[in-house]
Amino acid sequence: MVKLLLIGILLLQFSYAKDITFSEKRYIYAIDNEFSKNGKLFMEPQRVVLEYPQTHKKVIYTKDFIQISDEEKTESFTHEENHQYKLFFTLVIAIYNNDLEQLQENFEIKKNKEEVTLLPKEQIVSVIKKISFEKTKERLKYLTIYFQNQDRITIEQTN
Amino acid sequence: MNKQIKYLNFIIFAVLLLFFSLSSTQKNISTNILSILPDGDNKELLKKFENIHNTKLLFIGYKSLDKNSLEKLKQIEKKLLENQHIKKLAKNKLIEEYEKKHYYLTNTIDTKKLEKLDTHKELQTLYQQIVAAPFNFQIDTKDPLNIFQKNSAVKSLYFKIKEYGYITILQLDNSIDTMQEYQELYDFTKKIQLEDSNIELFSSLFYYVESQNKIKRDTNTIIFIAVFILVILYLLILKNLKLLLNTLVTLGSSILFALIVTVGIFGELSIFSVIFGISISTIAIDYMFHNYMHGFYENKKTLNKDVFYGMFTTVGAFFILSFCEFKLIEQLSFFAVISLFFSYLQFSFIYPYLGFIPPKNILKYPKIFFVKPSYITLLSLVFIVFSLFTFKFDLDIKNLDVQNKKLQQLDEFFTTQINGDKKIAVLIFGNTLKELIENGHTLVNKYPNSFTNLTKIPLEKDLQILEQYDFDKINQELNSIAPQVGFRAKMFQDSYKQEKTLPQYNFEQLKEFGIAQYKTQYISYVIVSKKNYNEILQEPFVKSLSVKELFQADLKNTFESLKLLAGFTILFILFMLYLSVKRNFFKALNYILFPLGIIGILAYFIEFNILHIFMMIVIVSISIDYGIYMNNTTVDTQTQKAVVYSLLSTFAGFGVLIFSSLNALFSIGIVATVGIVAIMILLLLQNNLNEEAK
Repeated sequence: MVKLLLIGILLLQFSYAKDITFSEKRYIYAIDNEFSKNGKLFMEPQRVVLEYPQTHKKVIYTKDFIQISDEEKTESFTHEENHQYKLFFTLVIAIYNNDLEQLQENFEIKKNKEEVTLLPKEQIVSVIKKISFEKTKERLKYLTIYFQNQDRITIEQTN
Repeated sequence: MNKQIKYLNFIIFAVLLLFFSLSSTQKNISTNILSILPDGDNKELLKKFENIHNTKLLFIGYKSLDKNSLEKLKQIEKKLLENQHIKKLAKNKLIEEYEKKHYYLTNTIDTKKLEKLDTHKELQTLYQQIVAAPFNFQIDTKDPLNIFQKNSAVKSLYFKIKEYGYITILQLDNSIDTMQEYQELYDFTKKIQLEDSNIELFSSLFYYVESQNKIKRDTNTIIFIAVFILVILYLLILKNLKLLLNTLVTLGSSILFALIVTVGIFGELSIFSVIFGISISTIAIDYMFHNYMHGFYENKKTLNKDVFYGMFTTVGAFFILSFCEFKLIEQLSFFAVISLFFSYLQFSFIYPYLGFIPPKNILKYPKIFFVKPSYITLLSLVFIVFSLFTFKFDLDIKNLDVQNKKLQQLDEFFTTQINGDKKIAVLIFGNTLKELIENGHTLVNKYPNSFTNLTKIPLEKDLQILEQYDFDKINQELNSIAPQVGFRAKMFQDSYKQEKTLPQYNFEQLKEFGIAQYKTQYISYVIVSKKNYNEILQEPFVKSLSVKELFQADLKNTFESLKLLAGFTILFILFMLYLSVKRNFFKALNYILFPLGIIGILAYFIEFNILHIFMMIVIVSISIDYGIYMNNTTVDTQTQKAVVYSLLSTFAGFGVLIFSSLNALFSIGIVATVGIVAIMILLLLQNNLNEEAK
């Protein structure tokens, strides 16, 4: 897909890495419970690294593969084998680079003042209801993913 | 008035061309093999199958296993998806809704798991999966305990193929069904394919487009060669441009008139009939040459008895052949009757007023040596008897269609890679809807690598299996344990609420599953493995969809009726021959026997198909014209010249089909060429000039 090529090109464009710290709140409807954790994103030229220090979990995303590791093991996946991370990183990179065109293949994009809403198309619509985010002065205020099963995840940048 | 008649040929042509352009005649010219097949149950069943099996797919292959290959395949896919008629492969929405609605009846129950079910443990595992999921976990609330086998919501459609690369499938819009739309889509995909030599694309639509393009290219080549020969004949030998223009316009008018009338009669006309029709129209040039060379035009005489007999014999022969139930022969014969008669009218009644004067001493007629007609008769009979022993009839009607080996290989490659082995569709029948669905289930149970949508429609036995288990109890247990494990209350209140009766649907509601009605029966199709194909055909409710197998019996019957019609045609020809030449009857008979004998030799080298046989009869009916002209009392050197020019023009029309790469046209061309050569040899060997003329 052109999207991944673009990601690659955009990743190459960065001459320096940027670290983002964030808090993540995940509400799970089935168990009516909310889980919180903190994470870090390293936006590097050739890859993006997602880390959850509390759980020692680390996810490395490159244009060729996705690598997930914790204290016990490390596993590698193709983008096709891990749709959830693929979608998450595509979203994060697009928002980070202010390049929403990348998302047009899978989402209908609506803007209301500062808030951007992404309405999924085709297959994704069976899982995701909508995605909303607000970014001000190069800082992500929030990113919320609303799922069809009434779960939601909210990510807020903390640095 | 005189001035107006000079342009009458052009006026007729312009009027017919205008009518042809404004009418829907062009749209009714078909490249589909169905348009030439004999009418009947088999043809109707094939049409029904085309209607119910309407999923048009586009296979994309990327021939490389480099680390970037999958990404490249996705880029190609994205480009293709920019076309509004190309979509991602999706399930039929109505079938998907049906499956959702009748979830427990349409999914297979895992009885082993159900018998050892530990609800508490299953719920704990589910809880852990939900919490451990990076972002989201989709619980199937209809089956949280995972008792039924089901598919995931989002499925990958990228296949990695050993020693090849990657392939994927897209779907084409079902609404596209015209040749123009097929061609546009083909051009769009080919443009993308040209960007990278590793890309391979295939869709069944490509067969139609490439066949049509091949036929068009072939037709253009044939028309070019035919016109080239005619131009040489008229401009270099006869040196008469006006005659050439008038003849071309007359032939054009006859072709247009025959096209309009034949499409009016048949509704749909095969492209082969059109090309053949164009070829056969050139026979009419005979009529012009004989009138022209004998000064009928110079003397403004309209009725040439020999030409009338010649025309009547040929048209009569085609009229008899038009009773053949083989669609292509029926269409060809009708076309020939209309076109030849229309040309005859113009050549006989308009040309005498156009002021054509016959050329003098243009062509020297070579004299090789004289062979006694009785020797030629004997030799011809030997050839005919010899051919009867070597004759073999080709019963595969598919051999007449355009052979596209490249696409056939791609078709087989993609379908085999995606399905695991080579698949083939068969038709299944049922006297009732229930019987049809049961037959579908029976076949798939017996041959598990088969596929049909019918198995998604539950049967009484599916309900009976579910009734063996107490799903209400499972629901109660699930809802009492779930809150203890940590799930919200009533989370699974609707789980395992299975139906107590079978869903009742009528034919209209089940059409989407690929069901059609034929006469008093219901039909559908099953995709089966080729290795089980012959075995599956033994089932009483299964029928082959192979054109070869379906029409073998029809073709045999056609062959039998063609033999009978050929007999009638030859009797008619003999009668006409006797009527027109009387005294020289036996000499003229060689114009039937000799071409037949020479063409018969071909049987030693090739299997004869239906068109070879048909063309043999056509050649005889053309040849007899020469028999009439050459054995008449008034025969002279002008007659011989007219015959030679006619043969050249007949070769320009018919013989050039030998240059066609399409088997149907090549079959006609080879018989025509051999036949024309045989007549030419006969003209040289058998001295026909009567004493007076000498």
